[in-house]
Amino acid sequence: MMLTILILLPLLTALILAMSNAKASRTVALAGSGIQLLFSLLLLQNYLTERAAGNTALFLFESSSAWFPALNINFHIGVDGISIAMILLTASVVFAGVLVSWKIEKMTKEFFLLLIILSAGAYGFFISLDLFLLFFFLEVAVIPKYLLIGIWGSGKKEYSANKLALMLMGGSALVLVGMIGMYYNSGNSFDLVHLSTFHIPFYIQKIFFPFLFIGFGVFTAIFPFHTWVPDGHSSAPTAASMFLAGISMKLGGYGCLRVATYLMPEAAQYYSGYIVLVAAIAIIYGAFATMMQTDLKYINAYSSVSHCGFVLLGIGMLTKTAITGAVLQMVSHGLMTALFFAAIGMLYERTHTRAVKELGGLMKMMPFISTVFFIAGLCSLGLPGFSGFVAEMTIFVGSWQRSGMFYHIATILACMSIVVTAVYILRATGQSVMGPVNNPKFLTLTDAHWNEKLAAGVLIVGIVAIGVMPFWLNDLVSPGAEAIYNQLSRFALLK
Amino acid sequence: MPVALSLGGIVIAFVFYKSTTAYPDRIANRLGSFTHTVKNKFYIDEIYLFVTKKIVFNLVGRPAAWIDRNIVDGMMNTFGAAAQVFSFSISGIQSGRVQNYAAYFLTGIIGLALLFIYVWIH
Repeated sequence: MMLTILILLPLLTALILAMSNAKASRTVALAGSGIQLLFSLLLLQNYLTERAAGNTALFLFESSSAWFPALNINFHIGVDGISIAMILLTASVVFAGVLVSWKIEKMTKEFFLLLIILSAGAYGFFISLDLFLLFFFLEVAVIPKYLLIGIWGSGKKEYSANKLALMLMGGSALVLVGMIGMYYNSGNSFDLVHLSTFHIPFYIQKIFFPFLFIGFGVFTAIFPFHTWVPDGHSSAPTAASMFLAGISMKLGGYGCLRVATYLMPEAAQYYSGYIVLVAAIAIIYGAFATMMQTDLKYINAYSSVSHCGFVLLGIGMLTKTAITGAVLQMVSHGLMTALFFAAIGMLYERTHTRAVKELGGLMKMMPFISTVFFIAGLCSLGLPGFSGFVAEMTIFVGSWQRSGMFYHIATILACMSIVVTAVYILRATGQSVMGPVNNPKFLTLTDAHWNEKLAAGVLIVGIVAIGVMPFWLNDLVSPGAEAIYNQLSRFALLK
Repeated sequence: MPVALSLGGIVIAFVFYKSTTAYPDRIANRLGSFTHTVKNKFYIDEIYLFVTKKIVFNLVGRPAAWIDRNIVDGMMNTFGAAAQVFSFSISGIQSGRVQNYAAYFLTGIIGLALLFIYVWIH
């Protein structure tokens, strides 16, 4: 029942938004997203209570009802610790996204309506235990992005919206092929729980695993299908950028893990070397490409390609610690990149530029926003005390556990990328907010308003809570990661 | 040992700094280029700037950014452009002329018939 409410809450908010006027829509969206955040915390509490009471089932709060019996499609939902972590992430980013969009004037109601529909898609995706349902929610989380960028975006917005929608739909098409392949080779079932117990023949796995992994990989910016990220992120309005980088890219990582790796464990092992190779390229290549960017949004977008490479690296290494690290990185990067985009949006709203060279000395006029910008940057470069350090360190440790020279070299290269990250982050933050004020017009700029402070506060609390006390999140996601690891061990190809 | 050496260095530096005699200057002059190197912090800043700006930025970062924009992204744009060209090339099929559709239909029927005949014979 709780999970059904989780889906109904954004739908109800969307319905009220559709009936409200532009002025009231802000309050409705804020109240709706606030209730979603509180409800996700309640869900976390109930989940922990169930676990403490000794419930060891892999998925909790499961419910299933027939949706399209002719094709054996069911409205089957349930959550494990990984899903709960992703739900918390979604709720935090959407709440912060509504707050930073407080001053949206153009088609206010429609803007918030689309943002809330996106959140419904993400919640639905993370709780689906039926692949068709999961695919349905994946699509719900794609279409509104096209409109958000196309209508409220900036720069080459039509080009970026088209590119993003087409590339993500291309990814979806690959996912669909992979799903159908599994369906017809598993006794006509889309059910994730059934599929996890059914042994799909290895030669079938080898055919359909790449479809699923690359399809979901497009969402998480797998190299070389990452080119929608820089254009999409830079043209999107602030809240959409936050959603895109904070949640949308995690849909891909979650799909790679929950669907491709979990349901096709032998193929995951067979292709793990290729996954690690592509991930290592994304990490290094993304970091070096970021170095040459001069626009703050492009810097964060390219760095997201690099950071999401860590997620793929963790998945590709196939050790329990690395898989746990991949999930931690998804949550950490989601919070951090949303904070970064929020800070960039706040700066852009005041200075009307995102060019690093044109900024400078903003700390004097905007100490709060500049500090937020710095915190996001420090988390991005993996400073201890912030979530980025915990997540990346867990991935490095887990990656090193995978034996073999190739995997060790990939781990070392990934570790080295931290230095490159430090170079571009410190350069960007230093030139933007430190030093002399480059433009006298900036001297009259004002610092963050209440809504911006609250948005940043919510995300920073998450980042610091993971950075200082990582065990709660680690304990939450570990059983889910262990289940995936056990599945890999059950069908072990590689000793 | 390293701690003792460090402390010794700090003590000597402090004594020289506080000294009002010309002795420290004389030692510095006698050490020549070593003094110059130390004065410039072993050129660490210069080496860092050379490595990052001249080598990493120019030889790695710039090519990576160029390849991404022009080759990787260019490849994706080429797929899009190819799809557009292909769509345009087959757009004539949707002419709206019933005679054309009848001709396509008839061609299809003849093709299928020939296929069936071929399968039946073999």
